[in-house]
Amino acid sequence: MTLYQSIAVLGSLGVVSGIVLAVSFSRLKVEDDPLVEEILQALPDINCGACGYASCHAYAELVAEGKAPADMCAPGGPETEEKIIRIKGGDLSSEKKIPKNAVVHCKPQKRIFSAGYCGIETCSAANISGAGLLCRFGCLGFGDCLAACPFDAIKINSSGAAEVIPEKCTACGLCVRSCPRDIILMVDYNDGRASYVGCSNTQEGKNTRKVCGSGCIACGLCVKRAPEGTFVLEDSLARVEHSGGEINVEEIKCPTGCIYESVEKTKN
Amino acid sequence: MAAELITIFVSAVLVNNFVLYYFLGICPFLGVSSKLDSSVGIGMATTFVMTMTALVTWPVYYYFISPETGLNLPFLEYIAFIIVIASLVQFVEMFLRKFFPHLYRALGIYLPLITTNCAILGMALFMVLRQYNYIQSVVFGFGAGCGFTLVIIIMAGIREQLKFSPVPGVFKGAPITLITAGLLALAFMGFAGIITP
Repeated sequence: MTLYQSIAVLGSLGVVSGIVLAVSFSRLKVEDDPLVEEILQALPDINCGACGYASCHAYAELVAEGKAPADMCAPGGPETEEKIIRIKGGDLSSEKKIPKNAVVHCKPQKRIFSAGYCGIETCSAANISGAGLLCRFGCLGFGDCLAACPFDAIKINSSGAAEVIPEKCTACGLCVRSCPRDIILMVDYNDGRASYVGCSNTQEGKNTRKVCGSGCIACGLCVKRAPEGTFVLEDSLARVEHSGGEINVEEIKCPTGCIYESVEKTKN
Repeated sequence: MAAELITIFVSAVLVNNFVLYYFLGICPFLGVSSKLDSSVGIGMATTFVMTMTALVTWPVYYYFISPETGLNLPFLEYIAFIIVIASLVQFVEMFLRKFFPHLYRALGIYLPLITTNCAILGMALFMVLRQYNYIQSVVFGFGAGCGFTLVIIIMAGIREQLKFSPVPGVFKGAPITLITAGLLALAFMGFAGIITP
């Protein structure tokens, strides 16, 4: 008797919950576009947010609906764009893009401090007081960018400032947004090399000299010595207008030595 | 009547909290408590499943399993409860996927894991053990869910603060989380003895 009763009880419990689930499934079914899944496969699926959407999935949905362009994925680069266009069955445009990498525009030989700091160890918190760093524009070195980077492409160098490792950088732009001092910028890499000014200090030359031994003092030598149009002087700070093979860092002989060349080693 | 229900509710939320007093449901408690909004989501989902479990399992127990009022099949207690819980979780999963897709993706693997959340089965078994009537059971289930939600939200708040604290290297990650959970349990022990279940 107990045997039949238990079979009946368990059986009917199973059947009833099965029916309830089947009915609710038909009511609550979500139609998945197979295209979304396919595009998601082509994306790096790291949810970095460089495209401006919440996740790779959200971006894939919009691309599948045709509401977003295929070239928004910075980490994936041209290869991903090509894959997405192929999945969607569109034409491949032959336009070649100049690759970019992030560069920290502060590369001091030595950072000079006027006081110690023992507060919360993030750049955004330390930026409120300046953390005792004399230069108001310099890298604080607590590594907010390091924490934001999903690719381990940032290291803190021997002087305590952050530095991007160009061969690991995918130009997703997360570090650019994470830096409270806005000293990380995207730079064009022609043939895997880029010249940049390792300073963001817009104070006058003599004031820059007081806070850092290797800051840009806006002497203008680089504008004179380098090919025309490659350097510009703005707000007492030199800036590389367009980079490439034509700039020879050795030839410029920057008096404070704050012009650097970043070379991307071949990815392997 | 009302006083009794309030006692059961307060007891389930604070005094005999499922996570910090009985140490049930530790997996989602440690797994989903790193972000405040997803912890709110899992808390809500668990509360819903717990309340519904109480709503459904009580009649199942009373009419089929109970030795006194049912068919005297006590050995079916666990398997029948698990069937009910598993189908409820499936339902919640479908519901969230349809109406809250972002929450669905944020919860990820932890959503189907509610099925194996021992706090829910524990709640159903306590409900039987303490011989609650129907309304008492539902209030108990809802209170247990609220207690779980409360604790996981407190934990998520603490863990968000912890990210900015200078934690010694060896304690980073899981160790400091477990220590925090232990201290939280100690704090909740302060409620012990106010109401006896």
